[in-house]
Amino acid sequence: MTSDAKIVLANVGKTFKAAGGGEVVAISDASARIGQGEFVTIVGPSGCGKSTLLYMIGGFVDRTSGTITMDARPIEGPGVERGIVFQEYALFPWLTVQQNILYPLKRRKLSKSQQMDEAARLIDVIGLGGFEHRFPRELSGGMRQRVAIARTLAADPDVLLLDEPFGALDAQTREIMQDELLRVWRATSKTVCLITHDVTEAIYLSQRVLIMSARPGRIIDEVQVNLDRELPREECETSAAFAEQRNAVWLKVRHEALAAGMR
Amino acid sequence: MLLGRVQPFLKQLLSPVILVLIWEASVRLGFVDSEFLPSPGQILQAMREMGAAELLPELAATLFRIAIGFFIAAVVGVLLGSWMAISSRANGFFYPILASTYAIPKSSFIPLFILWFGLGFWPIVLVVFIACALPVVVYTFHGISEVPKLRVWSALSFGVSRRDLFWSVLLPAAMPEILVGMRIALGFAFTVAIAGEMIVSTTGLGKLIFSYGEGGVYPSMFAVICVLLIVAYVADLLFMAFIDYYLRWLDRGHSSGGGA
Ligand SMILES: Nc1ncnc2c1ncn2[C@@H]1O[C@H](COP(=O)(O)OP(=O)(O)OP(=O)(O)O)[C@@H](O)[C@H]1O
Ligand SMILES: [Mg+2]
Repeated sequence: MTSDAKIVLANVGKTFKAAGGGEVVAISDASARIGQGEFVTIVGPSGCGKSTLLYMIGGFVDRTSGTITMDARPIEGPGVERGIVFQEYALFPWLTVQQNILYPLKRRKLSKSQQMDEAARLIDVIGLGGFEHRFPRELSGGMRQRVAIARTLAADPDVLLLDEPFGALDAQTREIMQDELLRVWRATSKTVCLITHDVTEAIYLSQRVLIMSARPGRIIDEVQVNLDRELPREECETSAAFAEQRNAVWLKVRHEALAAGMR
Repeated sequence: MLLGRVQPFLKQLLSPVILVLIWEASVRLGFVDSEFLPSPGQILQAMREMGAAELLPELAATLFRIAIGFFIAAVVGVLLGSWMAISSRANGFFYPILASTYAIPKSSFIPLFILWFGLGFWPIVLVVFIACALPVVVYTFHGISEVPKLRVWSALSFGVSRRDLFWSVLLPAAMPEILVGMRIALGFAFTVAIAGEMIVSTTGLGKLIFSYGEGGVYPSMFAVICVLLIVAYVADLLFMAFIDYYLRWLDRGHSSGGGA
């Protein structure tokens, strides 16, 4: 890693109390370092604790053991430096598209006109011009997810935590949103931590892929991604280097998925 | 479009109209003695004789008491229900009090309120308040308790204060439930206000019903009851229209509406 550590997870564990009185060990002894300005993805089988891990970095869920620090300070709760896009849309259904995006903008130190300009720009980025005054219930699942992403970007956080943000999108919209995320990441010094099931997405977007084991989740492996980022998307994705690194990740994930299936 | 809106309304009128026709027929054919049950025609006649001059001031008095009691109950009920949902300590303190008054008919408090406030305005407003506050508290409590946590977390990640979180997320998210509670409360408000006026008041529709009943002027008594029925029904319709507008953002799933 070339840069300083932004977020450090040391021996993090999370145990849930199950409804029947027993316990569910969701995460056990997970450790990782995410560098300042780094783009990291986390992949792993379903139910291995990816969302839980992200919620703990977000400060929404308490950990049972271990430490998580950001800029060397322990994370004790949610904060504006860490923005999150949830797996399911967490939009405010009583607000219109524009009002949803204005929600974080109004809570920043911006003038009224700056707020309106930034909201208009973000609505343009997510391609929802003309839908400003619609309520979420009037949008498709993919459109709602785009609004959720724009709303998180509107808060301008240092760290972006993304929980399978593109899962609900069609292939074309997904590519547009992926490239927009890359553009934002390159244009700013944001640190990005993205969860995905899609190994191709992980390789295309991130500098490093962390691989989680089946439950109880741990970070068992990582793959450093080395690609020529100057190449246009199609060339990049069809290059031999891309295929090779994708297969490396794919084999490790599949091994864990099979392990999860055997339980 | 217009027909589509009017048709369900007309359907709702079908059963009352049939009932009134049967009623009129049974009085005219002598199955029922009109001394005990006046016919709809006689009631209409009595209504005309009373006229707006006699009815409107009493109606206004009743509606004013209902409005004041309901409004205070709405504000107090939302605040108390929210507080109980947010603080388990507040819940532990208030829950036993509320649960124990749940099954008691609220009009049984009236003698006590007369003792405290004398006859007239306040005992009725107070009993309306008590009757209305309970459903508002209960529904607000549920609404606030069940706000999806991802919505709360989203807001927290935008750096909201606790106060901001309440006004900008918890309360609007709970509004569908709160409004159901208020609609129930509105029905209770009419019931207890009339009961109260029959006991303590010198004005209001309840008082009119009571004095005509006591004097044996049954057509007039029924006329007042009919006015009351219509006004309560219209109030409910208006409140429903308000709810539909206010909750226009709500995704009611695939159900085709109807009912609350
Ligand atoms: N609040 C909770 N109470 C009890 N158990 C929970 C809770 N949240 C998560 N779990 C359990 O923890 C484990 C990890 O859940 P989590 O949602 O983090 O998985 P995930 O990796 O994000 O899965 P997916 O890829 O399907 O989104 C699961 O076994 C789940 O049942
Ligand atoms: Mg998940």
